[in-house]
Amino acid sequence: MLLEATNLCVGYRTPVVQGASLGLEPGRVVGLLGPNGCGKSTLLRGLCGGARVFSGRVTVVGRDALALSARQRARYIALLPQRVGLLPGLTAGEVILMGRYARGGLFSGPTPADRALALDTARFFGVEGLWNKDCAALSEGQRQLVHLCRVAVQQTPVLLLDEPNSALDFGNTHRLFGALRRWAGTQNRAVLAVLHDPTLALAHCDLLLLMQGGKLLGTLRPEDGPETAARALGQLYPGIRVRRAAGQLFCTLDDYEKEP
Amino acid sequence: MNKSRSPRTPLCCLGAGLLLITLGAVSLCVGSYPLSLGQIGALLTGGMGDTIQARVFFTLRLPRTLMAAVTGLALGLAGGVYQTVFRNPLASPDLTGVAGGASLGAAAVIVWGAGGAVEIMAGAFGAGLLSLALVLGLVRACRTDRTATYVLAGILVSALAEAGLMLLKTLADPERELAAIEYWTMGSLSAMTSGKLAAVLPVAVGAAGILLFRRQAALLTLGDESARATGLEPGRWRALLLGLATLMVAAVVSVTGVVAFVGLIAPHIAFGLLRRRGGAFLPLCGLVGADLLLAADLLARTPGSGAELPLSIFTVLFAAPVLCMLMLRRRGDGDAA
Repeated sequence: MLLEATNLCVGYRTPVVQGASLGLEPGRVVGLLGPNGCGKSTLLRGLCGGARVFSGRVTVVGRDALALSARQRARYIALLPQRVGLLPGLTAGEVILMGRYARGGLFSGPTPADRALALDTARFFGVEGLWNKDCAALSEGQRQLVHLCRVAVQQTPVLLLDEPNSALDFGNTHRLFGALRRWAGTQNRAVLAVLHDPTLALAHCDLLLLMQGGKLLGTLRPEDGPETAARALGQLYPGIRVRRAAGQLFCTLDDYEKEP
Repeated sequence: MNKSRSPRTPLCCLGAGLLLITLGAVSLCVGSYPLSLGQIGALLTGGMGDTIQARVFFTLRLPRTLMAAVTGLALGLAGGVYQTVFRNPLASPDLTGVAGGASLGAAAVIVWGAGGAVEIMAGAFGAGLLSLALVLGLVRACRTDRTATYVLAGILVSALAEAGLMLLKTLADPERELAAIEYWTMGSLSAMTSGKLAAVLPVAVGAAGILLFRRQAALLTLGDESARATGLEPGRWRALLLGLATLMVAAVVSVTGVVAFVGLIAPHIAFGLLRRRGGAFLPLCGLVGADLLLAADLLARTPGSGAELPLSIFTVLFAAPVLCMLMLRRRGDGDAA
């Protein structure tokens, strides 16, 4: 296990997430699904010191993640939050290179190797042309790709992504999942991504964690088949239907009008 | 392509630097006892011995010019740091109440007797740092290091200092003390002497720290969550950077009194010229600030005949068109920025 959380209670003034246990294995892409406000982002923050942990523990590569300094932790866990701050005047390239901060010295700037890595990553996500553009002038989706690059160049064994595809178009969404599969597959990293589309999650993740009301309900594997998937996902989205077509599972929700 | 830098950066820095040298040279020459550039050259190379010119130059003119440049540099650089760290283009060093605190300290010394230049300076510096400590302490006590907490704590401390200042003004002797307090809160370099150059030391410390840590300052613009996940403890670094910036401001304000708006407009001018906040942005903030203050100080002493005007009159005059342009440029932006 690259990252393991046991009995984690996380929140702010009061706990939001109760008794969450999960493990992230190398080479696996894990999706975290659940309705809005169920505590997914809070759980992600709890795994990397961004929210108050009331009880439980988190280990990353065998170390106590919550006892590490932010700088040390950033060498093991990278987090892409839903919202990233923005001040006009920083170029996309500068923002991507910020991801190398925890690797360099406190006073040294990015090295040529950092720049080469950052440019390669930018090229992969098709944003190398934006390198010298002001980040504030980019579209929401372009900015999300820039921040994905920034998180990627952190080169951490564990990646936590909070709705990484929320602003991406069809092509970029698939490019993103291609990247996640590649990082997991060839670089043996562990990925945990908060997702909202169960079809996408079933198509691209090795394992889905289902969350509701601050608790992890259980897990689901795409190979479990449509019936099991429908039963598991039905806890989150009552009335969901799962069909297999062209070797893939597709989810639809027809009778949403009957929902309370 | 990552190396492709527009010629904008060197051009801006060169322009601001040349302006600084020109203004500095004029500032050395102009005054109630004019000196020519030839005389200054002779003075600097050790000629002219112990003449009136030498005394005027070394105890008054040179310290005044140096202090004007250093004050502008400190205010401009601090303004750049505040805007970056608070991720808000309207943030300025006044936000942490340092100017208010320093005014209160200076007024207290003026009213309670001492009144010597060095005592006023020490009182202002001490009270300025105290108000910073209060703000940081309040933020710490709240256990949330969000920017809004800083703003609220700054407003609170400023208001308290303002109340104290009002009390002191009513207690002050209207003939001498009140005038001194009023004059102090408008900023001036007319009383600058070589003895007060000690204020340069904290500025040097603050400026060196800020330029050394400008990568960390830029990282804070990502917001706390991303900064932390990238390896930077946001609360600690914000306190350190603001502490360094406020140290500089407290030091220069203790000498010059309150100089309005330089900390706000210098970064805007620098950003307008450079169109970016990376690279040379912070040093350019300092250079532009130094230019502004030298120009204001020159104008403040042009009336001649011994009477000098406060610096803030001119810095406000400089600020008005800059802020107007800023408003016009943002016209129709919606809330995107």
